[in-house]
Amino acid sequence: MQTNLIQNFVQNLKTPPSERKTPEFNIHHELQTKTFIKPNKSSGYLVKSNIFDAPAIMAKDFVYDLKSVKNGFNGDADDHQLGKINDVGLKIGGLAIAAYLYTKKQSPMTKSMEFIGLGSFLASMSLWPKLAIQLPAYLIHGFNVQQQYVDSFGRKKSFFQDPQFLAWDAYSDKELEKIGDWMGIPKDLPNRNEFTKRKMQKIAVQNNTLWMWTAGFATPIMSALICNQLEKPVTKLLGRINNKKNNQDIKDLDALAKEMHDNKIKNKVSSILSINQNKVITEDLIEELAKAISNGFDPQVKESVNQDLKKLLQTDLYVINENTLNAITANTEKTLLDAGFEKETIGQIIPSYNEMLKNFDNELGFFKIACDNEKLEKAFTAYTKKLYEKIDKYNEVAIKNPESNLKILSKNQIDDIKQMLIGSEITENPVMLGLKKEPYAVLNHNNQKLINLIADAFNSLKLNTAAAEKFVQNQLGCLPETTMANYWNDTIDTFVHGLGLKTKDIDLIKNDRLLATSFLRSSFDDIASDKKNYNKFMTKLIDQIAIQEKLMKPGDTREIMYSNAGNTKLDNFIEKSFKDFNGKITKLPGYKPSFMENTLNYIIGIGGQTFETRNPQGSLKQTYKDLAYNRIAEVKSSFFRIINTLDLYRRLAIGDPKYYPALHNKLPRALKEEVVEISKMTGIAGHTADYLTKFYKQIDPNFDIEDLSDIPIRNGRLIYKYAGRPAPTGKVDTPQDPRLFIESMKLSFENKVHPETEAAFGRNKKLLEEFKKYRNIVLNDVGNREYFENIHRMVTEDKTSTASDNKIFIEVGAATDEVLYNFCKRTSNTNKWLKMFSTAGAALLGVTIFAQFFFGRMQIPKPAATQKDKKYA
Amino acid sequence: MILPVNNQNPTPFFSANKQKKNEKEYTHDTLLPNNLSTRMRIGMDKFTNAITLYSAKGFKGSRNANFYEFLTMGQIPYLIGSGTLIAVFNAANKHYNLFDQPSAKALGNKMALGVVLYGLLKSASKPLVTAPVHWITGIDTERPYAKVNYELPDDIYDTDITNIEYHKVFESVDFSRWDLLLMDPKSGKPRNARYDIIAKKLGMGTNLKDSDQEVKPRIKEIVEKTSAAKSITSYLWAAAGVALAFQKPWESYFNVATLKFWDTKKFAHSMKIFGKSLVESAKAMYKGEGCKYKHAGKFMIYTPLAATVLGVLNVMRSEHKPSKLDSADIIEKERKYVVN
Repeated sequence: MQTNLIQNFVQNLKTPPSERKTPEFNIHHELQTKTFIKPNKSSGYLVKSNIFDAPAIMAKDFVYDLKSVKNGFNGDADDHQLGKINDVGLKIGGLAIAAYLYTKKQSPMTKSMEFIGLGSFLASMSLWPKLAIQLPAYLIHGFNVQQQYVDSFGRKKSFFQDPQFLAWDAYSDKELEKIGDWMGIPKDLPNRNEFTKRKMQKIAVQNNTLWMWTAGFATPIMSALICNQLEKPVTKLLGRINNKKNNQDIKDLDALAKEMHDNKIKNKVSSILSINQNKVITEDLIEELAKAISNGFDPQVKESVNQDLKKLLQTDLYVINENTLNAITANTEKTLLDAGFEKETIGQIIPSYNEMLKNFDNELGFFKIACDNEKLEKAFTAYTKKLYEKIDKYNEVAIKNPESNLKILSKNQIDDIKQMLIGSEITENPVMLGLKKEPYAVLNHNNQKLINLIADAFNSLKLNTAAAEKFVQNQLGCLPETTMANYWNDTIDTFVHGLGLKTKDIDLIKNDRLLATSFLRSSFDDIASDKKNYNKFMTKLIDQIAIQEKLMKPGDTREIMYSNAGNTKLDNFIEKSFKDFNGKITKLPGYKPSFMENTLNYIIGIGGQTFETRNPQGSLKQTYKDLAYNRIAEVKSSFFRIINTLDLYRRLAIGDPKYYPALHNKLPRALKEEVVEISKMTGIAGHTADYLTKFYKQIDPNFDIEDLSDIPIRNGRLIYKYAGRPAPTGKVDTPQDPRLFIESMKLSFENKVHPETEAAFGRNKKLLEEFKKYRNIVLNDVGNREYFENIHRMVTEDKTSTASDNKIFIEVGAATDEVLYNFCKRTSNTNKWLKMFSTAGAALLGVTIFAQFFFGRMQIPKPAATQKDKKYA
Repeated sequence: MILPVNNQNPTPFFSANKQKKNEKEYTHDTLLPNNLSTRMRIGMDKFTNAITLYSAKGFKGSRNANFYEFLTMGQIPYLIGSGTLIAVFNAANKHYNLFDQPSAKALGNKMALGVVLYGLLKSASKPLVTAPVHWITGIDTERPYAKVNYELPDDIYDTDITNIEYHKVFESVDFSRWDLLLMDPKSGKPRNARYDIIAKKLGMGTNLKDSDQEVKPRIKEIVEKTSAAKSITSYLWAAAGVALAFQKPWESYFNVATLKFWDTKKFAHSMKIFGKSLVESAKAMYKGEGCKYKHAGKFMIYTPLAATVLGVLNVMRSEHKPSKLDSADIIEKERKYVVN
């Protein structure tokens, strides 16, 4: 018969609750069995936190860590605290590594990544067990295998770290029942919670072991993947910060110069002066001073300062010192050697160092004092006298000892020597030149003051130029987070994205630049053959290129090649800095027009006596201005080149001769095809050298000159009849036929821009004007440039380009295929690495999670067989 | 702990020497000498057990798995992590563009060397603290002992229920194994002979009545300070190792590096260059070559050095003064005491 549960319930409900009896307490029994002695009730508890508590917990843990270190240092720590000190050591060591590697990196981006690397490594150590072990285990088994608890002493510990000593008191029965429910443990199992505990213990041990085996793989991979993913956002963020700072800096470059606090020049000069005060000014000292004054400038500045200092400190007095003696010996030796005397003989007849010293110092008393011409002449006479004595002595020895190898000097030979030493012009006299090697000047108070003033002028100039350099470097440098680098990368990303470059293309192109050329040729043909596609691509690309003006305001920095912007803040600052320098030099005591002339010629410019009248061409001042001009112009040229090449492809793809008058009716079809081919290919792959050598290309010399037809177009592609076909008699270069180069240049840079291209500029009218100017400049500078082999190949006959190589290099810009090739190389490396380690990371995560489904398998204990069961078994 | 009635294998053996294999090396907790061979044997034992026995027990969720095994398995992520870190910077290099490979390889090699030097210096630097402490105080904070551990049998046929764990006498400052430092009466030496030496070295006097009781607080303090200093300085030395690995002169070694020791000529040459590169790199690090801050290298060398010296000096500093009172004076004679 089945039990009626409802009836039972009602029955029980009616039954009044029985009175709870006070248990009997027998003191003798208790004392005998000591059952009243029980451990204190545990005050430990499980740590239950959520993400919002994390900051508070971290702060609390940090304080505990510091306390642990303090206690450890005082010898007052317990085991738990000593364990914490180890964690602190790990972090301090990590910070030391990151800080050291920080000092070895150049850019803020790479410097930042050192600390991001450390942070991501520590985060991965903590995140991996949480994400890959704790979370899946919780979902599968219903409890936290990485549970932490605070023991009765307030120490936070991992609950399952020691499976032999588990503080089960921290779990309530209710919690254990809930976990048991999740695990599917039968509710009627006797001692159910004990079984749950045993199962939890087993699962925790298995997961801890899994953690130990996976953490070593996971932590570095996870950390590297985090860094990889953070690289781009960090670059962008640093770029924004950098840009903001640049915009502030340009407002007050004087303040930036003051921030430099660099007084290296003044300090170094001051130190040299203090060591050498009131000493003789030697060539070495002038060299040393020039080096210190020009510290941080290019070597030419040092050379100029050296020459000027020599002139400034020059007097009519000379000093005879060690350098003088060596110079006399060297000069005399060389003169006699050149006259055909043997080295051995010369060694025997010219006075030695000690003999000279005896002469000049002991006998004459001229050593290391100021000597006028009279004294120098006395020294000269003493030297020659000694030399003649030695010649006589030499001859005596040679005559007395005929068996020796000494060759007797004939009278003629002796006369020759005398002639060389006495008779020669004073400016060529070897001995006198040696005696005048060291002009005598003393580093007296006036000289020191003068040098200090020069050093001060250079120091100020250095601070200002360093500020300008810093600004230019931060805005336009090659480092990853500069405004220009970010702008370049974003624009190339837009360009490449528009080309539809796939991963397999990247993997292929990175192997060979020629593959980039071929890819671009095909992509440009595709884009140009479809109006909608072309307009979309060009609009997007031009909009991106136009961002430059927003990032770098023309009033702050600019290029002067294509834009018509006036003087910028940077120009003004550089101008003012050099003017200040010029002012300081011209105000030096005793200034006259020839004062520091070499230095001013090189630094400010040549051809004038005032700052304004000096021509800055090739000067240091201009070099500083060109830093910004050239960098912006190079980037603009590279982007204009892409637009121009695509415009060419589009004009040709439409097939309307009005868009390419360069391919006129008088041009044979074969040449038309070659011109198109050259123009298309140089647009993509041409370097400066290709333009300067006038597109050296071999063609069939016997082409059909009667065929003047146009090149037919099919689906936007030109159908060639001659180009690319083998010539029966071989192909040759045609240096005297200028048409190939002239028409190619005209087709690329002179024929009007297609209206669709103009339309793609949209509101960017200013950029369009610059683009047109770019085309014109390239046409004139490159097209009219003389080339020594093919001098007649010029776009216009009456005009010769005077553009420098450097200017042409800037105008030509980067070859587009090279840009794509570099992009693919860089991207392919990252892709390959990412694929390898993201696959490994994903596989590891999969295995780690999958393994947990097999954890905690235990046989449910069978209930003990009752007597009744045994009876019917 | 309830000890088993019998942990000897009841199955008789009839062949010679067969039983010897099952004999345990230790039958009770045994103090071991702290020498190179013992340390190496213990290290090898722990490593092989970590990757085999303890891992197998762990994955099975054995009820005998314990904290010692968990901690011993801690070396697994260190070793695998080192290998993975090296792989992260090297494995993909051969797939890079030919022109990018040299720079990627140079960085990868430095990173690999950095990982190796990190581990080497971290381990090798610990005696820089513990050895001076041992010489000065007589306290060997690293003294190992073999612990005989009893486990629950896996099943009724499991009679081999003991295993050996290698601990250090002072690995726990809360539960140090003071008892193991007491001399065996059979040795003929006084029971507190070891403590007497320590007391003497610490300047607490000789012929103390209860030298063990007198020196225990000092030993505890010294062990804690040594442990703290060791933990911090070992990571600083490890950081110096990484800094050393990132010096340019190593590149000349990487060009000739080989581990093929059987090719003696090449291997000897590579070792010679290794030595030269080590010296050159140390100089470059000291001079701050390639660093924006030229004192960075010196800082990386002097910091761990100073920390080590300070750590040892700190150990010598003690606020615990030896008790001047005789134990008899502390006991109140009027009171009744019950001794169980």
